[in-house]
Amino acid sequence: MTDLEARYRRLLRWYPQAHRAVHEEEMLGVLMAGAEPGRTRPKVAESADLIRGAARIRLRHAFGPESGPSWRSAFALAGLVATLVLACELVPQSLFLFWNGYFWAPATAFGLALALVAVLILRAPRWLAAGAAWAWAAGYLAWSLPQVLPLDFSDMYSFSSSQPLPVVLQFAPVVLVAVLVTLRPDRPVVPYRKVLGWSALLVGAGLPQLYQFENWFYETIGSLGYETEAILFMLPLTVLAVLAGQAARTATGRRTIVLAAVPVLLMTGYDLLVLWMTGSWLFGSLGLLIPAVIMFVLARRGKPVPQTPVPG
Amino acid sequence: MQEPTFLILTALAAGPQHGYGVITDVAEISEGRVVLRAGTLYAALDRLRAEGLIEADREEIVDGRVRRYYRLTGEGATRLAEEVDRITRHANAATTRLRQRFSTAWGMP
Repeated sequence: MTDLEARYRRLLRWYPQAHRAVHEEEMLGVLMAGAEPGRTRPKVAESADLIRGAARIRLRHAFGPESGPSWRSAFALAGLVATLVLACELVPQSLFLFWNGYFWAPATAFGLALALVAVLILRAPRWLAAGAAWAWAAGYLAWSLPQVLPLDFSDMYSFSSSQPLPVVLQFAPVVLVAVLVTLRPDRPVVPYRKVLGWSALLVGAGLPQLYQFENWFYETIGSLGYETEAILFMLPLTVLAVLAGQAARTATGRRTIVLAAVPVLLMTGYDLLVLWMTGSWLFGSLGLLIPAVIMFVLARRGKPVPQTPVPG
Repeated sequence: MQEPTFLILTALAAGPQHGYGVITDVAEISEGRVVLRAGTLYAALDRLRAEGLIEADREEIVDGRVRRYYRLTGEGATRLAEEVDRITRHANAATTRLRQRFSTAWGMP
């Protein structure tokens, strides 16, 4: 392989994998045929043209008319995924209350109600699922908001000019989940076993968070600061990163990630934001983010799966 | 329809061509004014194929590499013909008005 060919091949990596599988050799033939003898590097204009062409193809594949079915499946799935992640986030808190004798604490009731919303998303007509999601969101906000009022976070955050921000960040996912459920065009097509498996894994990953309520944890690790305490959030974030990595191998999965990213990241990445806002970005935010990114990249490896409606 | 698209369809109107053939033909048709590069060409071919205006005709192996030929579909030929009609109408209108302008300028009836 000549230097020029190797450089052209590197530029062709900008193209989607499916496009490269069909057209890489053909495009290489065209590029080599157009190159003057003795040339070892592509011209700047040629490189820019290849990158621009790759961007056009990627954009058209992502948003063009043929991507319609994938977006439809993704809209169907995103509400369910966000609802389940939110439910899994509530489970450790509910379990803690349950073990401490508060069998019907509001948190437990909200966890169970959200599981019911997930069932409605899967089985009921859209209006019923959307109604249940909004009712749940309204109830949850009415219950939680008074607990964080008045909005005085001066002892927690280093800024004072935007005190409502943490509250907005905390409650935005609840509203966004209801929005996604409302936008659901069809009932999501999902293998129940897989959904249950991932949900159980996410709940399991969240269980170590119960330690933050234990005296020994609070007195030892907790006393070292929130940055150290954030290690408890590493597991759920890693599980989600693996799930996202696997989902990213399908067209529908990639679109589901885009749609569900904001509420899910606000739910599970809330602690990342807190760490960032408190200035603990080096060991705290990056300490959580780097393992998650590595797991995402590892899980994404392997053959891209052509059209399947289910991520993971 | 953008000019490169029009020229690509025109290049394929006479018969199937491979990628490099389209590039040289477009340069010839436009008298060297439009020089397509590979990135632009394959982005256009990808779109035209998705729109059903062109399709793959055949493949051959040259110097160990696949050379794919593309041809115009029936729908592609119709779209090109419509575009030619549109351009011709506009060109005729422009010619008529320019003639009127010259006639007025020279004081001819």
